Amino acid sequence: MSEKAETKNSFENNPLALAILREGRSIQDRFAAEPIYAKTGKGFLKSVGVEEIAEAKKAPKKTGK
Amino acid sequence: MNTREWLAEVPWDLVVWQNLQLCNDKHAHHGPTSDGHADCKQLWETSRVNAMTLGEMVDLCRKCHRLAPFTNYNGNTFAAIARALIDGLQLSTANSAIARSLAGHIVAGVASDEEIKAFEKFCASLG
Repeated sequence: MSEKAETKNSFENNPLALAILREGRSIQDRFAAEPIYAKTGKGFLKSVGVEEIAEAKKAPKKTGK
Repeated sequence: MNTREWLAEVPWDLVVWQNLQLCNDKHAHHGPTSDGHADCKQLWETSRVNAMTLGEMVDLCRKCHRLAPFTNYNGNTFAAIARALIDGLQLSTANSAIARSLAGHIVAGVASDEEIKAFEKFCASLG
């Protein structure tokens, strides 16, 4: 296997990479595929209102800051 | 303000891998752009080895989003990085959700002045 392919494949077992991927998948539908920000200087993100934060407040509290 | 090497474990190859996965999920083309990829890769690789504040890390992700190094899903790629790194902090569920939401808005380029100030206040509270 080439070094470049090994590098790409190695992230499949990387905990941080998998955590980032989980985040990305959880918010995927809010983003446009096209590079709107680069083209227009204005970003794009579909709003979910207060749902995300409201759900978090309902969840059992973890200890911490 | 507290600084750390937030992106020490996020090399450019990992960013590329993220974008590949996200594009594959949506059957979108994955590839580098002709006008953004080289500059963004250089910015990322020279910046990530430096200690920076949380606010600086999030702003770097925003800048990279705007440079659009990939043909698709630039915003999601960089927002996910910022959000995941915040999620790694020992925060309450509610505070983590708020901070991740604010960071996501900043990276996406849609944060209001109020949201930016709220995030700055949050970053300052980390010490």
